[in-house]
Amino acid sequence: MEKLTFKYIGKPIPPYDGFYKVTGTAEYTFDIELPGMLYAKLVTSTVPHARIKKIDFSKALQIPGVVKVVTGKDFPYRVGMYAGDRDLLAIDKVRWVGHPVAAVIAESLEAAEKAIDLVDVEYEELPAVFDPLEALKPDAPLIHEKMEEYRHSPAFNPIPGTNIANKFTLVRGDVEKGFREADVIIEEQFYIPHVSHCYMEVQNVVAHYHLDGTVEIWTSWQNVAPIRQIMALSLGIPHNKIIVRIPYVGGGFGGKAGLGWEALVTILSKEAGYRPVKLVLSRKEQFTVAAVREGFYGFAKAGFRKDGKFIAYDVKFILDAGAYADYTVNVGRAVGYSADGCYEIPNIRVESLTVYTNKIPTTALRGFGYPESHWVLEQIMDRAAKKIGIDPVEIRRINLVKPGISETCTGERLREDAGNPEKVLQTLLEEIEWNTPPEKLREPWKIRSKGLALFVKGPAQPPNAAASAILKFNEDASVDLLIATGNFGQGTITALIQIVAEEFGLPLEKVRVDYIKDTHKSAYTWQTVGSRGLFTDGIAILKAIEDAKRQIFRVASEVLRCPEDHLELVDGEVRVKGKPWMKIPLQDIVMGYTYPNGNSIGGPVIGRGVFMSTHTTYLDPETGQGNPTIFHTFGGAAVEVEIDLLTGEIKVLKVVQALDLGKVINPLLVKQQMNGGSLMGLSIGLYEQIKFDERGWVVNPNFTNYYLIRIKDIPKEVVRKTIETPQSDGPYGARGIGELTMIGIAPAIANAVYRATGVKINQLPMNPENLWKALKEQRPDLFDEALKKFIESKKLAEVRA
Amino acid sequence: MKLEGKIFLKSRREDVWNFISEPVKVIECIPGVQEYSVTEGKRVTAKVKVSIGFIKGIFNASSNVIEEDHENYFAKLKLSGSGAGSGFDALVEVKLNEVDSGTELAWTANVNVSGPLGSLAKPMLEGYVKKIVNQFFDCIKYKLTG
Repeated sequence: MEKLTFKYIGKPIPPYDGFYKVTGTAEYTFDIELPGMLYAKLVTSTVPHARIKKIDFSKALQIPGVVKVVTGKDFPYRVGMYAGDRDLLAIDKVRWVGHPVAAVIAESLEAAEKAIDLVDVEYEELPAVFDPLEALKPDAPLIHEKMEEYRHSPAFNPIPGTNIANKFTLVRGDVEKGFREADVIIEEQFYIPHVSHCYMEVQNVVAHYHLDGTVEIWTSWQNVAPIRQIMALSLGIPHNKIIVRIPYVGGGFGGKAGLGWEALVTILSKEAGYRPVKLVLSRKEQFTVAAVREGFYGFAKAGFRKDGKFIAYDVKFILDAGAYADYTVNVGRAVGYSADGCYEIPNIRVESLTVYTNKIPTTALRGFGYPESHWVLEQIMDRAAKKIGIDPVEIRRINLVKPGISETCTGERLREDAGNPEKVLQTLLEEIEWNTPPEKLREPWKIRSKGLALFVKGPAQPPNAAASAILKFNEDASVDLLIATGNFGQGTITALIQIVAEEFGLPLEKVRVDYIKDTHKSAYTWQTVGSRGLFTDGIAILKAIEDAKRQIFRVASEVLRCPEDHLELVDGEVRVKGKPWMKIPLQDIVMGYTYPNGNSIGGPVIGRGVFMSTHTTYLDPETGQGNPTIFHTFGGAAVEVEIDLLTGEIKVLKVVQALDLGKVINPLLVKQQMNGGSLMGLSIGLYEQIKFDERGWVVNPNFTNYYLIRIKDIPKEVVRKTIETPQSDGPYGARGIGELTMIGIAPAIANAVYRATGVKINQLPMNPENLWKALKEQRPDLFDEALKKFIESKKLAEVRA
Repeated sequence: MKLEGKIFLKSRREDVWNFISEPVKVIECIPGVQEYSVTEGKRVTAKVKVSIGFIKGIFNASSNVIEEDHENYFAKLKLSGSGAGSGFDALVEVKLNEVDSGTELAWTANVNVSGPLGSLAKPMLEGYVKKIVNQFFDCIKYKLTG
């Protein structure tokens, strides 16, 4: 029978690692210091596209303490997770300003920093291309001449001889017919610039290549397994010779999920005479050398009937992947199959191209293509509503998917328990008080407005992305949970501890998860990305618990002379149901039960469990049809904004987030995720942008010129609402949350602006400059009127004075 | 940005040519140069201190002679460098013309500045580059004619 009351599930348990972080005792990769450790710094390209004619590092070698200078030519490896397109250091040619061409290894960081300035690189410049639309032209400079030699996952479709790293296509229904039947057609272009992940801890790695061929790695990354896999495939080192360890991590946001620096630093360690080597990127290098989120174009044509029914959608996404597209090919795929958002669209055609340019490489960022597809779609919905003459809520209601009935654009029938999007919408309306007009202000050049956006997301992962868990008991019935779930601030581990404590009836402190994830010691999980950790690793843990319970009950049943199914685990004891006086403490069983005469049965209890999705598939390469994801989380965001028509400034006064999480395992962590995601959504929506000059240089590689949300920008009110429509195969019915909370913010703001002014902001960020330009261009009357009112009010004030 | 100028030198054209053909002599005239070396042929690498607005740092610069036409007293150089998160490159052309009682050195420079430095306001940047160029030629003039 399903358990109805819980001791820990659904309770606001503080994060298990809070103590260590607050007291400064949490150990990060940056803290790792090994005997004899050397330091590496990278020499990076100063031109966007060029052949390397010569690298002269003779002077660098003269700096006291410099051990070696390594260049790419000697290590012609290709590395990567999906596209396999990356070199360790530039081989023959450089592809962006910032491309590492050499690495200096020295006894001290100071010596390495001094030496990189003395490495003289001669280039023969090649034509460069910085815009993906230009890069698609037949005469565009070719950035990867040997793309056909790159290893890539079968899920992707690179086109050698072009700059297309992946082409994703999806066709469902008859789009042309749909448009013929449409009464209203909307055509728009959208743009999103590159942004940085801005995690607090910069990327840093320590690697030690031992003489026996074993490699030890410590790294600030989200997952251990993919690093090992990438290194094994690319460098040819056997898996069991690679030990990857990840201690505490100061933020990831998807930016520490794909390809990192581990393979390079491993090679450096070998070259330095098998001594450990540490590489720490600077903040500037985070903006210019490490991968960032891609730039994005969306070209959309949408057809609606006059009754509001969405009947045709033809959309083309172009992702500016930069010089290397490794993880971004999967972002391109995800943006493609999420094009339909929460809506039933019978006729849809999607083309999503991930395109190389001579800019910084790109990778995943929280939301993984879904913020991009929803930035386009959710604005289309409001534009169509206005053109048809119905409320933005109404058009959403008309087209909203119905779990159990509707099919997504990939042809996947939504399971009946997939969630309740209608309730999400209703919750948003109530909390934002949709039908109450916003307050009119005493400063008439400022107006207030409300807007909303819905969204849905599932993990973008291969169909066979597995997870596993091992739990083993200690003598006192405490539990060591061996899992590889990444722990980079999202709180999943705390929720997983709650599950184990709940199921065994143990105090929370009796369940221990080692903060270091280790390929040798932790059970395998594919990756901790895509809001999947709680779902996939949670299921694996529940199965491990089941396995352990079976072992425990088998022994207890013999001892208590009672069938196994009559037993239960309560408060750390095995009891006979209905006869609580017939019991054995867990600690008497978990190492084997010993009878008074010394005879023993059972043995140390070790539970194992796995998660493997059985219904997901690759998508058909021609039509994009198939089952790409293991769950869908439905959600929505609504905002109330204040717009200054004179300056273009948008102030967000209130944010409402509503998510159908199936089951809230830990409301405190959910609250923190919703707060954090709201702020990240606001920051990317309103402020963030990596700016490039015409030669591909980043002109704002620091937090002085790259504006992030600050205390003064935080809305007065952030309302967080959760809905619990359990998914039968989720842990206690739960679905993922991590990335969801930032998807809806930007389109909700844009929709609020459009609703009040009719001004379309198709480009992020919605900073004063962009909105002011859009306002002046699209509604000069509104601007002039506001200016008039402003001058009048100032004159009035003068007269009064 | 494109810059150009002419300076008059009270020296014979051949003497000016010999002077400017010596990388070591020329490089010492670059304002802010801290150290330099001639690597091979006439390729010069140098460390140059730059301070403009809030951007300060050491630039690693190099210069390559890409055309040298003694017969017509014409030379073309490619300069490039990076530092403080920024980069620059410049294509410089120099032509020596014989004039009454001396030599006219006519020069043009096509300068690209990238990164945070390049994002500075154009007048500020141009003013700085002009100042550097003037100091450079003043130095050459001084060294040649005293």
